[in-house]
Amino acid sequence: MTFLLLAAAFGQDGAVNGFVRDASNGEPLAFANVYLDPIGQGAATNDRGYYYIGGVPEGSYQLAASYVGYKTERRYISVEQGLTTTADITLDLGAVEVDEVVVSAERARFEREVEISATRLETRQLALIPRVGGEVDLFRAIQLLPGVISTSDFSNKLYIRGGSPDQNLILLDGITVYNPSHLFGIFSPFVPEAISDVTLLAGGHPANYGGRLSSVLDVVTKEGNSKKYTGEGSLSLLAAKAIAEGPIPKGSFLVAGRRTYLPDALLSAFDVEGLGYYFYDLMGKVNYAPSPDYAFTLTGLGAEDVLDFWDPDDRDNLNARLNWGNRGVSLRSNMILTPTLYGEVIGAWSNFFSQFRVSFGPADQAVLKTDLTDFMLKSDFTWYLADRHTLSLGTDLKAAQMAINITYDTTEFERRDTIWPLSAYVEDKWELVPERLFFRPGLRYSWYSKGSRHELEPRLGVKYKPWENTAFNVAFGRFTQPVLTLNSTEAVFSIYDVWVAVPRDRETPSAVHYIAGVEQWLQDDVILELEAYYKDYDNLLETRYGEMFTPPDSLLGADGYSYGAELMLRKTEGWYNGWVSYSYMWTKRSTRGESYSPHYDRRHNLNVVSNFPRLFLGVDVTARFTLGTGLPYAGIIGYYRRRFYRPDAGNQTWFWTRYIEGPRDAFRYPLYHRLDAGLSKTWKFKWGEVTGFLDVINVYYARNVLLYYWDTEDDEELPTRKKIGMLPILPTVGVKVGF
Amino acid sequence: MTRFIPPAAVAASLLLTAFSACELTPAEMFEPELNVHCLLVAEHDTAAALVDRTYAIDDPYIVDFRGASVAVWTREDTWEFRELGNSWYKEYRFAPPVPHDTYGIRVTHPDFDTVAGSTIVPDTFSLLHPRPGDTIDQNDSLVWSRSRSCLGYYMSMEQATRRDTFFYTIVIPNESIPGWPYDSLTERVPLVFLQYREEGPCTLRLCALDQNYFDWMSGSGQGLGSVSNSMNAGITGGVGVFGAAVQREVAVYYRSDTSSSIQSRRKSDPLSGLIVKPPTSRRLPSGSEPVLSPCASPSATGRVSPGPALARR
Repeated sequence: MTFLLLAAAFGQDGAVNGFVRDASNGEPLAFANVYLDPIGQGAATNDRGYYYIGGVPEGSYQLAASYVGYKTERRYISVEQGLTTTADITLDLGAVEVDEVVVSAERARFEREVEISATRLETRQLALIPRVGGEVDLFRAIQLLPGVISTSDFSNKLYIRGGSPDQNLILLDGITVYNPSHLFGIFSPFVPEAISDVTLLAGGHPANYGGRLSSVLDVVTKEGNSKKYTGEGSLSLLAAKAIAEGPIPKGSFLVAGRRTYLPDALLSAFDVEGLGYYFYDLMGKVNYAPSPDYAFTLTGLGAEDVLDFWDPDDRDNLNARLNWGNRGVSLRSNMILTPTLYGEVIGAWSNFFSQFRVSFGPADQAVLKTDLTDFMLKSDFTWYLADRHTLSLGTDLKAAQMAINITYDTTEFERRDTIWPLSAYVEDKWELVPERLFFRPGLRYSWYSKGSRHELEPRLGVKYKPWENTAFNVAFGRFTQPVLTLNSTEAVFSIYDVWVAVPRDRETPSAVHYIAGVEQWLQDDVILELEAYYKDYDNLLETRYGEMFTPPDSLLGADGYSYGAELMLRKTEGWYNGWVSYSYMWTKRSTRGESYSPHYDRRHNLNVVSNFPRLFLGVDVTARFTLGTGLPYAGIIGYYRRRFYRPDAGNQTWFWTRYIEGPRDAFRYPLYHRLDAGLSKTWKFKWGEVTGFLDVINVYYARNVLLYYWDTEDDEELPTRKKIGMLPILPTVGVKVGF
Repeated sequence: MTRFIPPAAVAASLLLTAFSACELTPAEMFEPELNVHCLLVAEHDTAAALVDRTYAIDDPYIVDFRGASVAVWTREDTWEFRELGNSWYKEYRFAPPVPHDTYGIRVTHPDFDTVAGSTIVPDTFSLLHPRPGDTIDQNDSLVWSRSRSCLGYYMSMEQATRRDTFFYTIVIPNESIPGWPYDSLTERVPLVFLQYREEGPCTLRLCALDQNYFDWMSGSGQGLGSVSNSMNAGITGGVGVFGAAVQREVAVYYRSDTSSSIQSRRKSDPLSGLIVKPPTSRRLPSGSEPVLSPCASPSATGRVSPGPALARR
């Protein structure tokens, strides 16, 4: 096999390579379609805008690059035997010419890539979703994709194909983000305007990703405008936001920030004393390309939530602050080592911290700190061996340290835990039958220092295109995970996640994915995808049911499975665009002989996302509708008086009323449904543009249930069920100014 | 005539059917059971049991649950308890339980499964300190000889003052507790909780508990033992507990001025040199029910609400 690959690598045909970028700002265009007329041979750019077309016979060709929303660029090139012709292409924004077929990024992926269960959203598509509190949110958009479940209006956690949120690998330019939530889960810590695109791999992902059982969310930020200085500011009911970008010598920069202000104002308006809250996000990026073959990108991330509470009468009596957040820095180097060898090396430092400081007076203070620090050195190399083989290989070396520190007066307790997950992978994309049959076999090897575990993770993806617009996909893969969170599996709210390493004496949690699907292009901009999957979990570790906190040593072993089918109908362009996604899902866990459906086992889930650009008077109209069957919960079915003897009280018996719970997943909340709608209009001026928007969450005020609880009134014998609802009708307005 | 059903209507119907959540009602899932509480106290010649039932979440509580038959037996005798009303069943001519004896219980009701269980009366013990009539303060400890066969103790303190009656209760396991000095012959618990009490007479009580009642008390969220959420202890066929205890008490005088009472403690407490960490207080419920004493008759029912850590009456 190696011999064949090497033989192919040293073939005598020529090749064409280069980058495709946006002419207006220099941003790379991922998954642009590049091809040679008249032979039709081509490639899609990678997520850095790089393309390579190998195995090109000597001759002259017309090189064309197209991308939806841009004018197609054509130029003549000559290809010589055994040489690589470099052609960097910039595309201008503009209307598509008559009779010209422009291939969208989705179509380019369909044609060239073996990416199964992958959905990519661009910034403009994030803006299709009506905003909560005036804020576009990445995770809210992801929750509307097939296979993704949201358990409440207040949580941005992602439950993907029966996996818990800690089974998702969340990356921001290579930085692992361990706690992607603000305001107890309502928002994610990414400034949406700074995001270039985001890809969700819901299962069966390639061998270059690892360390999580369920999915990968790969967020890529913009590189910054390398042509001119631009800026944008916005005000909404919840937050103020600003973003600036521009050129630097041989590169570009981008800075974005957001800070909330409403909660303080709201608390003051309602005379709530002794409570304060805000969060902020900062994101910065510097892109420097000293030569066409090398580029360096420095990315920084800072996000923090701060919650203060104190005794309004006497702040010295009680004064507490809880703050938590994410910080990270990454340095990425993109290299074209040879025309056929493209490499990326990333070094990243990521930190999630929390601190709870409470004082009951100057001399009486307690501090609880948790900290998770992650150092990563990752390398990915793509070797374009020939037109039919693309070999990827790399390493993923990490050191993660989890620490908890408690200080009370002069007493201090500290526990530190360090793990070294070290991985290497190799993968080949093999075009077995040109433009028809693709194989993507891969193998990932991981060594986890805790318990010195060796894990082999084979991966396989197959794509077969019997017809021009139809593809059948199959994927298989094994996945392991060395860390997990200690959050209660039933918690409705969680402020932040507490991560721990898998204890030394436990097996590594693992999952095997089996996926099969079909993609069918109905029109040039309409695609229908249908996928079915089965996931088999082993050696999961779960928190103890009904307990607020489970220490790592007391986690329960669990097995489980999930299976389901998903359908997505997506229209990417035109006067109406958006998607309809439907998911059918079963999820089961089994621990200590008990089988149950976890609280995110939603059987049916339907999302409709619609966008009507300039529907009337230049107004953009967006809407989303969600319909989902009820989530399971353990309900109360009865009660009794639990008595005990009180010899000190005249030999009486006393009692508590205790509730009798039904089986863990015996009940389901009512059907969930919600419609959000938004209007926005942009006015353009010489100096820039102004966009005003109005969004209404829960337009018809569906009274969705967050949770039930049982309570007994003072003079009432019978406990009654009461409910806490989700978001009511919530209109928000805002304005955005760009220059 | 052929009827034509539009495919869209079929699809919509199927979708609506699929989305309609089917769920059982609480009543359909609930199976009522008898709820039994019976604690045999060594050396007492009256035994009592409270028998009612579990209720579906929508069912009102029946104060005067009737119709059960309660029988308790040992090797030689069987006693059929008399129904007094308000869920009470009693036997006034009960042979005082003897340590190490095994007792059985059977509760029947025509509408419910039979409840059965057994218990072993724990070993007797003695209070060593303080002595009756001693003057004590917060620096004193309650010291007793260990009951060899009990699982733990239920300690309580009662103080009647001008304003209220103060209770302090805690369940203490008989085994070694991490961080506590262990003595196989005696157990010592400091009376630090007395520090906020008014000066005056008070009574300290201690019950040695069998396995069943110790589990039951621990499961009620009290004490230092492991917390079990089990709905029954020592019985099958229903919820509740069948247990046994040995009880001791001592009447003392509590003095808030510590200097004088320390001397009193030193005179009467030969084990005063030990240093013991304070126990953790736990919450107590405040629902109360009729007096179980032989001379009292059942009357009031209690309120349903959790009580404060230090309950007041």
